[in-house]
Amino acid sequence: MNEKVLLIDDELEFIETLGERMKSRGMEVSSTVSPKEGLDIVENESFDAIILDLKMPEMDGMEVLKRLKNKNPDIQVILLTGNATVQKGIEAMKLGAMDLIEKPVDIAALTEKIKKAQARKMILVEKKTQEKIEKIINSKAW
Amino acid sequence: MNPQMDLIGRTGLKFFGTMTASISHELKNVLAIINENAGLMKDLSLMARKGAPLDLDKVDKISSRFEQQVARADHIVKGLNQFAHTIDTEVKPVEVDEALEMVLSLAHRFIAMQNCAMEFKPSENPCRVNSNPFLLNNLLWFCLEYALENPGPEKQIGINCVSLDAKVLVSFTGIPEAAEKIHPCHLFSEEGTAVLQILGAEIEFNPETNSMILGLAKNSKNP
Repeated sequence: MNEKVLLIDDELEFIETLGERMKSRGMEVSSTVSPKEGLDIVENESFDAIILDLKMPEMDGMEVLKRLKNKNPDIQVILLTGNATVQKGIEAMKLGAMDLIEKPVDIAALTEKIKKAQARKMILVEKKTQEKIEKIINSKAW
Repeated sequence: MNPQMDLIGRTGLKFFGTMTASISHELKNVLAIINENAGLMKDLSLMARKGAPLDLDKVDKISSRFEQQVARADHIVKGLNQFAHTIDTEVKPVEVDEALEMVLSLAHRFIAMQNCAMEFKPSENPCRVNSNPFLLNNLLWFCLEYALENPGPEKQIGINCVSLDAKVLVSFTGIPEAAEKIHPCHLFSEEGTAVLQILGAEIEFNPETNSMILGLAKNSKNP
């Protein structure tokens, strides 16, 4: 199954080129330079992974991450940063990010992480479906 | 050691750190774009070896992007180099307009993160002071930082310079909060105040124009 990805980064050329390379690898890619627009897109569409830049003028990446996780705790977010420190990594994980990677990006490594994000999402969706079914069965007085 | 000079030294290091962090972030973004375009060239080459037609227009487009990003990086590094050389001389003639342009350029990413529009109008006449270039940049940065942290509701900061007989005035408009400050020392931290004092500079507020005005002596007695 093709992975569905959303790229959020204020550098247009970066997301255009990365997006093109990801599409040529079979992924379905949407992108935006606006974190606020990114939040709106996520309201209406489901993604296997969101690739999110940490430092953006309109809104800080950590703030975007918080809002994404508040709306949907199961959402898989991979953060991009120019300087990946241990401290940033810890803060990102505490807020629920799946991973933190440093720019420039190794597309092979990123693709692997996106596949993992998709697998994780599928497991979470299956678990929720299972729970719903069990709830229905238990609620029926047979 | 003189406590004031210690403070100035630490302040200068902090300023240097802030500027270089901003510059390194910009350069990382440039490298990220170059990296993606290099990868895209590789992808096109791989596809061509497998028999797919090579899109020469695309190759040209990628080449142009490399050129643009190299020019961007060159501009950033030139700015860094200029900044590094501001510590070469203790006191020399400095064009305040050029110093402001340098600080604005160095802190470009930091400024963008504050979501504020900044408009700098270069002066028509030379605004030259004899001063310590590094400390002057540091002081201009303190003023900019203050303006960015306290913008008015329109979030628009205007900056311009005027040359008078014995002074150069740098005004930062669009700061309504500045009018509420009673004393200039409330404006800055201990570090900012120390730099202000060592350069013999003054800060005034104009509540009518919601602006903060930095007065720089053309011939500073210090440092």
